[in-house]
Amino acid sequence: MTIENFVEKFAFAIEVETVSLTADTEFKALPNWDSLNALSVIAMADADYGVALSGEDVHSSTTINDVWKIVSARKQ
Amino acid sequence: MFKGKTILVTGATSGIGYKVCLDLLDAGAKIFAVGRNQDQLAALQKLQPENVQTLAFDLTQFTKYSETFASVPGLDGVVCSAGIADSNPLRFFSLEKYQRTVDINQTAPIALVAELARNRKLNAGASIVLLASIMGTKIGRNGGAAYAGTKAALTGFAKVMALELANKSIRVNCVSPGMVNTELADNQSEVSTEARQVDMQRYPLEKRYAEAAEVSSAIRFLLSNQSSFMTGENLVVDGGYCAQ
Repeated sequence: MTIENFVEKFAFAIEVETVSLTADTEFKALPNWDSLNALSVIAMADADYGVALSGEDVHSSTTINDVWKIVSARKQ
Repeated sequence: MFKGKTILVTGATSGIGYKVCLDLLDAGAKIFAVGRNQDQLAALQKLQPENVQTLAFDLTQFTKYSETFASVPGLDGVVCSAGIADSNPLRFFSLEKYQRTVDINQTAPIALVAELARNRKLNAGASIVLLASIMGTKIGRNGGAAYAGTKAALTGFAKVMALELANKSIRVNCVSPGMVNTELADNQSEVSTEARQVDMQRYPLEKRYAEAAEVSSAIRFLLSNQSSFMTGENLVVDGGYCAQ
């Protein structure tokens, strides 16, 4: 359970290359970011980490690391 | 309008189903309320103990339908309102989530109506209302394939049930709302408050979601004799969303 793995899974969820993202990427500024991507990230957290994220969690996060902090905190 | 009528309502403990129960009681009906939340069922019964029968039952327990519904009295109406709306986007498709949605939203209504019809629990002139949605027949929404599919299925069921039950003067129709201010909508936690506000702006009529009462009134219309020559139909209640 590392941030590197999370970035990889995040990239899969929003259908971009892993190398195009880092923990500090401001994901909502990505050109392909849309509401389906938000749903996919929530579904990824559920499927891969067993964590329930809300739309508010994603909306209030700026970077991928912000989302990771929520996921890792709830995973514990 | 419903004095002396007995109407079974599924999903009776929350949202639209609960509102339908309250409105039917106000209109003089007796109700047979089916739900999973025992506390809510007890609270409903306390409102008018002489007019409310309750049944705590998980509608996905299909093998128990025969024994469970044997005690149901002759019915003048059925409202199938129980439903769930789990987000299940294709990229993380869960067969388990999908099957649960199908069981509750799609299989339960037809299994229930079949059980009641087979055991002659539906009085001549009865009216059945299935709670469908504009999702499926009119629009799609990200992550909602299972929900859309099950709700579209209900509109198909209504047509076939209408034909099969017409010889007993039993009518079957659907009501298809857009988004409604209920716990089901509130529990869609994957949608942020901001996204919901933006979505409301897409509803031409007053830029808002429907209230449960506005869907309940359409259901009561279809239950009543005022719709006595309507069957196999789908009544859309969406504030003009699909007119765009």
